[in-house]
Order: sequence, then C-alpha cells, then structure tokens
Amino acid sequence: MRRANSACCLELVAARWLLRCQLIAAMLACAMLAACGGQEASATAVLDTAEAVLVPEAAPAREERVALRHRWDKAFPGQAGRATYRLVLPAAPLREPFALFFEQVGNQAEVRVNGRVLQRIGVLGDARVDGGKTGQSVVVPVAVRRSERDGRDELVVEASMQALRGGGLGRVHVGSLAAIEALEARRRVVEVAAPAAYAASLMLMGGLAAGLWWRQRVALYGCFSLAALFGVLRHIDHLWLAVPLPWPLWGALLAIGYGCQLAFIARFVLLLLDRDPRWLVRAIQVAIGLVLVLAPLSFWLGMPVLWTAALALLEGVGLAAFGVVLNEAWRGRQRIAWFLLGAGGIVLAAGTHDFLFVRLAWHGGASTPLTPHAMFFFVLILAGVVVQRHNRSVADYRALNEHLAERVAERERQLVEASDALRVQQQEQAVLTERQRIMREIHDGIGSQLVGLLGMVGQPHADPAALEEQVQYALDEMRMAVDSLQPVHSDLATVLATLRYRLQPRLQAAGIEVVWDVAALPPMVQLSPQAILQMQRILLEAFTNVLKHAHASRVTVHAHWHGADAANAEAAIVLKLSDDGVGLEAGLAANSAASADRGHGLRNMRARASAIGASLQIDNLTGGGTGLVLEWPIRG
Amino acid sequence: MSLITVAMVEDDARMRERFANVIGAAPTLRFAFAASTASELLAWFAENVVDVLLVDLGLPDRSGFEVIRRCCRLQPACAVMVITMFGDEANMLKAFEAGARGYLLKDGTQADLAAHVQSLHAGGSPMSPIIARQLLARWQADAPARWQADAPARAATVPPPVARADLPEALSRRESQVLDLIARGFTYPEIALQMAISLTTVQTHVRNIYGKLGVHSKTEAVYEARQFGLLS
Repeated sequence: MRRANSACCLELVAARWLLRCQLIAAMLACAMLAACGGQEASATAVLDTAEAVLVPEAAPAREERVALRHRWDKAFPGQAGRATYRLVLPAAPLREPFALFFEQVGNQAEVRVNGRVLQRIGVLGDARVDGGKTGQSVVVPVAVRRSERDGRDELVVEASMQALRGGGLGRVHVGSLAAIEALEARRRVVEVAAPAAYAASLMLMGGLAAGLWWRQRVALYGCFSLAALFGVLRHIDHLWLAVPLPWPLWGALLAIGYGCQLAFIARFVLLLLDRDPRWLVRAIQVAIGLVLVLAPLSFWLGMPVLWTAALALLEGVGLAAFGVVLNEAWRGRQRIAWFLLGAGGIVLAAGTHDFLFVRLAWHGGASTPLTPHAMFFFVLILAGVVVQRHNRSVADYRALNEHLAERVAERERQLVEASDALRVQQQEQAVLTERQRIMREIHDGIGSQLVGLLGMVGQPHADPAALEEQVQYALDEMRMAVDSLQPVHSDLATVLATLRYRLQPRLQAAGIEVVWDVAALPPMVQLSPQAILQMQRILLEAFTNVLKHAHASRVTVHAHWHGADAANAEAAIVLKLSDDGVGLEAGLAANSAASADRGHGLRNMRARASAIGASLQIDNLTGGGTGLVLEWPIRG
Repeated sequence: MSLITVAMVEDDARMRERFANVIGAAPTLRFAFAASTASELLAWFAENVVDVLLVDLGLPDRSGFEVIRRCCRLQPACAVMVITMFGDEANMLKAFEAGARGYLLKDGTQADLAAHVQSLHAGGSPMSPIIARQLLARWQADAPARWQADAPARAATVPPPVARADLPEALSRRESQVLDLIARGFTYPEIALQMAISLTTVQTHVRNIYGKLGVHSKTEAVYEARQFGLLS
C-alpha cells in the first residue's frame, strides 16, 4: 500500500515537472516568435507591389497594379480563378546568384524569371496541393539573368486560386542565397516548428483527455479531448502540402475543426468552473450546430459571409464564456478562474485579432492568425487540472486507506478480544469439566473405599489384616487417580511402568517374581486421564487377584503391538498378564466368600475394557495359572 | 564405617518430627539438623558439613529450588533430596535441574525413607518411569513423532539425542537407552542385564543424566536465579 502511495507521489512530482517544462517551453516559444518578428528586416530587399492580370471564373478579367500581399479572396470573394503577377527585380551584381523568398504564393503557382520556369508549386489548376500555407524560396541562377544592356530581370508568378482558400501572392524578398536561407529558416520556426509542436502537444493532451474520459466518463475531459483533436486539424493542414481531400471539402472540414475547437473550449471552461448557465450552454450547442451547417455551405456555395457569420457567433459565445470566467474570478470563488481568465483573455484577443485582421482584413490585414498559439495555454491549463485532480484523488485514496486501516485494526482488535474471551470461556469450561471428573473419581474411588473402611472399623473385632487391606485399596485408588493425571506423552508403556513402579515393593514382599517384557509401543492419542485410570484399574484388579487369590510365585507382563495387516483388521496393542498360580476356578472355590467379590471384579474389568474400546479375555492357562489378554486398537 | 549425616528443611513440624524419628531409628543414619525456613538452613549449612540434605519445595521464605542451588554450590559433595508429595513430577524436574539427585515421598513408608537415603548416599539415584519419560521427551523434542515403526530395533538403537539450545549437554546413546528402559518399567538390575552392563554402571548413567540437567554456565545460573527471585 505504501509502495503504491510512493508511486503515486512520484507520478505527481513527474506531472508537476511536466507542467513546469511545458510552461518553460511555452515561454521560450513566445520569446522565439518575438525574436523572429524583430529580425525580419535584414539584408534583403522587399517587393510589395506587382502588376497583376486577374482572371476570376465568373467575372471579367482585370489588369491592375496590386499591393502585396494580394488577397484573392478579398478581391473575388467565393470565386476561383487565375492570376499572373509581374514584378521587376532590383538590380544586382550579375556574377552572383541570388534567391527569392515568397511569404506566400498560391494556391498553386509557377515561378518564372525572364521566361524561364524556376519552380512549380503544385500543378496550376489542380486543387490537391496548396502552396499558400508556407513561405517558399526560389534560387535564381546566374544563367537566367539578363545582362545590364537588356534591362532589368522580370519575375512572373502564374497562380491558380480556389475559392476561399486564402490564395494570392505575399511579399517577395530578394537577397543573397545566405540571407534568404536565414530568412527561410526563421520563418520555418513559425510556419513548421510551431505548428508541429502544437499539433504534438494537442494530440498528446487530447489523447490523454480522451483516455481519462474513456475511463472516468467525466464530461470535462471529453470536451477538452474534442477541442484538442479538432484543433489539431488546422496544424496538420499547415504541415501538409498535399491534403487528402479535394477543395472545398477540405476547407469545410478545416473550418468545422476551427469552429468546433473554439466552441468546445468555451464549453470546457464552463465545465471547469462548474458554472452552467443554461442559455450559454444552449448557445454553445447552437453555435456548434451552425458551424456544422454554415461552414460546408459557405465553402460549397462560395459564400464567405456565411462562415464569417458563424465566426462572429463563435466570437460572441467566447465573449459570453469569458464573462462567466470574469465573474468567477471577480468573486474569488475559484483559483482556477484566474488562470482561465488569463488564457481566455489571450484566446479571445487572438480570436478577435484573427477575426478582424485575418478574416475581415482590416487595415490591410494580417497574414498570421494568433489563435493557434493562444490555444496552447489551454493545454497547460488542462495539464494543471489533471495534476490537481490526480493530486486530490491520491490524497483521498490515502485518507481512505488510512481510514480503512483504522477500521481493520479496530475489527481485528474486536476479533482478538472476542476470541480471547472465547478461549478463556473454553478454558474455564475445560477446567470445570476436568474438576468435576476428578471429584467424581475421588467420590467413586477413594470415597467408596473410605466408606467401606469406616464400616469395617465400626465393627467389633475388626480384622486388622482386612483393615490394612482396605487402607491399601484406598491408597492405591488415590495414587492411581494422581498417576492418571501425570504426563505420559501418549505412551502406554509408561502407564504400565508406573503401575509396576508402584506395585513392585508389594509384589516383592509377597514373594512374587515379576517377568517384565514390555516392548516400545507406538503413541496412543486416546490415552486420556480417564482411559489411563480405567487401564490402571483393570491391571490393579488383575495384580490384586494374583496377590490375593492365585498363590502364584511369578507373574509375567508382556506388551507388544501389531500393525494393520491381513490377519489383523486394525493396529492394536496386545497386553498379556499371566501367572503360575492355581487358576481362575480354583482360586474362586478356595474362598467362597470372595467368589462373589471376584465375579464382581471380573465384570468390572470387562466393563472398563469396553469403556476404553478394548477387548478383554481371561482364561485358565493349560499349564495352570490365569491368563489375561487385553487388546486395545490404536487410534490416530 | 561412619554414620551418614542428614539435615533437612521442612516447614511442617509434624513432617520434621516424623523424618527425625525415622532417620534417628536407622542404624546407619544420624540426624544432624532440622530447619523450618530456608534462611535458617542456609545459615546452618554455611558452617556445617552434611552428607545428605532433604529439602521441601514449599518453604515460606524462599523457593526450595534456590535452596537446592545454593547448597549444591556450597557443598558439591552433599547429596540433595527433595521431599515431595506423591505425583509432583513436574516440580521434581525443576529440582533436578537445580541440582537435586533424588526425592522422597512424604507418604512413603518408614522403611522406604531410610532405604532411599542410604541408597542415594551410596550413589543410587531413583528415577520413576514418568520422570524418565519426561526427560526423554525433553531431549528428543518430539519423541512421539520420531517414533519409528521398527519397534524391536528401537530398544537397541535409540534415536540419537537431539541437541537443543536450552539443554546444556546432549545425552549419550547409552544414557538415552537407559532412560527409555526406565520409562518402559524395567528395574535397574533388569536394565543392567539387558544392556550387559553392571548395576553400578546403570546407576552412574542415571546420576550423569541428572547431572546433565544441572545448570553449568554462570550466566544461565544468574538468569535462573533472577527467575526464581521473581518467583519467590
């Protein structure tokens, strides 16, 4: 869990660094743009007028002097056509080659100097290529130059234009190869590097936002993703001379991309602020709908006014959204509003600039739209939002983890308490049960012996031998009860051994030899104190019989075990106790008073044996004496 | 032959009197001193030499184990016996660890008492099957699990003693064999016969087994003393 947290932390730090790097990159880009603008006027001459022959499709041809940049769409709104621009090149040393740089030329063009074709940009009249997107440089070799006598070099640009495609001719720079190369390199930063960077960052953030939307279904991310992906179209168009769709279909698509980008950004801003004025949301929806209708119509019908109207509507929507942002920032409810205010202000200013100067071409018009640069700030804002939200969810996740850990610990504590209580209860129950058992044993064993003793003592002329015998019984009972509680580690041999250890002096005193043949026995799980006591009582009874009735001189104790094999259903311990005395019947007959007692004793032995699951057999041996065989199956 | 001198510490006056009578009556024994508290005994013991010391474990002022330990240190030649109730085998093991070499049952017959003292002095430590079984289990960590099916072979080749960190010394093969036979109920003469050794050797094995239970290193002694200090 901790590792996950630290991973999140790392991610967070990485995301913050990413954001900082982007900010720095943005600042660098701005600085670079500013630098480029300042350095343009170097060692080159600029041609800003041309003699033009303009041949629109649906109007009579015109011949006039035009200022460069010449905008075809302004002169002939909604019309395609052709134009031939003638320019006189400035005088230059004959021996050195020089180069031309067209700020813009197209849509398709053929560049000739002194009647020699130097470069073709696309094929005249073929709408697949648009050369008007970037500046073009052309080298003028020494071979095509005219000598001083023949007059000045003449530059002719033949161009074909599609309707509403921003065609025409930009200013022409003339200079040495090195100067033009340097100029072109600077222009490339603006025309190629910047769109490439924007396209990459928009794709990246758009893709990221799309992924987030896919996983989280948060409208904010979906909205940004759409805005970014629509915005990418325009940058791709900049980098791509030969577009895949024919004009004006491509134009309609670009227009839709631009319009939708603005509309979705406006919606994104509202979502980010969590402010949803219904009218504004509706206005944005209407704007998107209109863009989708008006852009294709405008390009299809060749009516630029339709698209201009759509752009004006978008500008209005943007202003309204900006108003909401301003309101939020003013009331200080959300910090993010200030960022939005900054970015929105820049975009709005850029949009207005583009609308007025690029679209409507006030004051001669500007060539470069600023909106794509400004849109980049929204990329930064989204990155910030993602980082912030991620940060918050990590914090939430940690808090949740802590909370859960606390609850788990609490539950664990409760569980331990409950199980402890249960264990204590079980222990108490076990102790109680065992105590009751021992009490019962004392009552039934020593107790009954002592009661019997009391009866005998009370009689006149009590036989001291009988009294001693009775006391001995009581003592034996007590010792057996204690021994049954000793730890014997499930070893029946130890139980037998203990019995012998206790009885040996008595047997010795009676002159009875003990032949002890006890093998090592396997552990018996069922050897509980109760079972041990039963076993001891059976054996004590047997030994007592030998001592009292058998008149034996030797007793043999033999214990072994057998496994579960073909002859035996289950593993068992076999215990044999035999004496060389007078045998069962004779022993009984000798003392009729004891015979009832003896019979009772034998019944008791059998009952005890069956109580522990053993079988007991007592027989007269063929050679005389008594034999006892106890077979006790091994369990576990 | 000089008489065997016997001292005892026992807080029960009747028990003291009984033992004093029994020992006094035995022709080879001489009753030297009977203390009722540990401190009384220790004070006396510091200045008098005695052959056999009888110690009751339940003394009022300090633990019987500590008394045994101190006395064994003061007079290593003195044989210490524990006076105990029937069946108190668990406590006896601890007493053996402290240095005791035998035990007397409080409810034993008068003849038993004298005979046991004499036997102990002669080098014969008694050991009941239950104590033998306990010791085997201690030395063989998990004796029942290690029990092997070839039972007849087992008597001859008792599993090798398992070395354990909390035991000072491992048992020899012979010693564990003796323990096993005692646990199965064989008497010392029977064991001697089975193992084809003399009775004295069996007794030596038993004495050595008790000896191995004792605490040898100083740090352990300190540690145990602390434990007993806490206990008492």
